[in-house]
Order: sequence, then C-alpha cells, then structure tokens
Amino acid sequence: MKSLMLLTGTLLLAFAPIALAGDTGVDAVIRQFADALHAGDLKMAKTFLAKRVAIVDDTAPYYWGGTNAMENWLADRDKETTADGVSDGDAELGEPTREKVSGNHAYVIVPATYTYKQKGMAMRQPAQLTYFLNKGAAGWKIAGWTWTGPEPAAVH
Amino acid sequence: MKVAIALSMFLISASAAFANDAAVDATIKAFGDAFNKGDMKAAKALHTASPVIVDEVPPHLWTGAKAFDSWGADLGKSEAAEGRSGGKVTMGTPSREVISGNHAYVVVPTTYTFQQKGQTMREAAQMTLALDKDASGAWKIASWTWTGPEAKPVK
Repeated sequence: MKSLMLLTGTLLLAFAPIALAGDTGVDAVIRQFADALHAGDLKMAKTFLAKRVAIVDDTAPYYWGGTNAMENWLADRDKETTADGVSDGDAELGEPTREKVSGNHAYVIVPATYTYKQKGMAMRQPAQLTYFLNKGAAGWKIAGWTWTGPEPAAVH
Repeated sequence: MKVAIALSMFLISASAAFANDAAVDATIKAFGDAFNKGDMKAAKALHTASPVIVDEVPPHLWTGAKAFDSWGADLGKSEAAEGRSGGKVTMGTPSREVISGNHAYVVVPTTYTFQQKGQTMREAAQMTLALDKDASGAWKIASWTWTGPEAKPVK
C-alpha cells in the first residue's frame, strides 16, 4: 500500500500501451510489467521480476539491487521528485529497437520518453530502457533494466 | 582472461576530453586505458567488489564478485563464435554526468567497430555507468550497461 501510494503520488512511471515486436514471451513480460506499473499494481508488477533484480536509473543513488530493488528504487524516485518539485510524471515506451534472445537470456532496448512538470514548466526526456530477462521454470522474468537518458529539457 | 581480451579487443577507448567531475571522469578514462593495454587486472580494480555488468553478449547480465571476469570470458567466447576480430570501442565525451554525494551516473557515447568475415562493422551505442566513491575517496564503477543497436557494415 505504501508503495502504491508512492507510485500514485508521483506517477513516476506510467507506461502507455505499446506494440512490441520480437519474441512474444519476452515482449509479453515487458508489456505486462509496464501495464502493472501503469495501473499502480506494484504487487502484480513484481511478479514479472526475477527474485533479485538490478536497476540503474538517473535518480540517486543510481543503482539498486537485490530482492527489494524495485521498492527501494520507487522510494528514492519519490524522494527526489518531491524534493525537485516534480509532478505529473509519465513515461511512454516505444517499440523495441533491439531484441536479442539467446537461449534463456534476453536483452531488449526500448525507447522511452519521460515527461513531467517541474515548477509549472513542462519537461521532456527522451531516453532508452535496456531490459535484461532470464527464462526459468516460471517463464520469462525481468532481471533488471537500465535507464539511459540525457538531461531533461523544457518543452517549448 | 588476457587471451579473451586480446582476441576480442572489446573495449579500446580513445582518449576522450571528458568534462564534469574530474575524479569520476578519471576512473572512466582509466577503465578505457586499461582495456587499451589489455590490462584486465587494472580494469577490474576500477570496479567495486561486486559490480553489475549488462552487455549485448549473452547471458547479458553479470553480478557479484566474479562479474567482471565472467563477462570478459563470455565476451571472448561470443566474439570467437561469431568470427569477430579487431574490435575497438571508442568512448566519447560523456553526454550526461550526474553526481549526488558518493554516487555518480554517467552516460558515455561509444562506437564499437570490428571485423567480421572480411567486413568492417560499426555499432554506435551508449554506456551508462553508475559509480560509487569508496572509503579512500576513489570513484569505482559499480555498474555499467551497454545500450546499442545491431552493428552495421561500414560502407
């Protein structure tokens, strides 16, 4: 619930529906994870993650790992967006620009655009999300992701 | 390990005019320089004890104390299996560098070129690095991710 409030409060990662191509199993997990985050259902979102995940983002401390990585990442995102006066955050994913599946491992690059308001100013950050997934008995699971983006710019 | 590096020449960094925090940039530059020399021991020493590495080579993710060594070995295998040789990565000036206390986030444009079946190939990518400052004040690479498209023939 606390995590849900954090997500609802910051709207830090609301994913738009996307038409992913490539391996349907891999794409389905990424889509379902995005949909769960969009819906604010962190419990559901976590079911698409491996037990231990690695996350790299442009929010300090920039790296989170382990079983509670997602929750810690969200908490740190919330602190930073609150401190920076950020609101109305939304992230839209595009179609993957690369998907490489090797046996039980996958590497997927998805373009993303993060938009938000900061002190009344509309901001925009085009970036890339690099997902890495592993396939086990329960199917494909997201082992982590990296956000690669430039400084956000004001929307004119 | 050294053999793997020599075979793949996977990360040869050109001298780059890094801006931003000099100490952070020095670590990244030293990483590239160490690879230039094929000095894996020095390159590894620039990482934290349990780094996280994400690369386009399977299994794509390496974590823990053996992450660096395992990545190097897997990269060497992949390059050999795909018939790649003469690989070279040129690191440009960071396009973004954010520092918060003892933590840093840096995005570096990179270009990977290599030979494959007589064809020169090129891959324009980005490396995203997370660094931590250790007790001695030295910046160490806690994580890096390679984000790049499929390589294309150089015409």
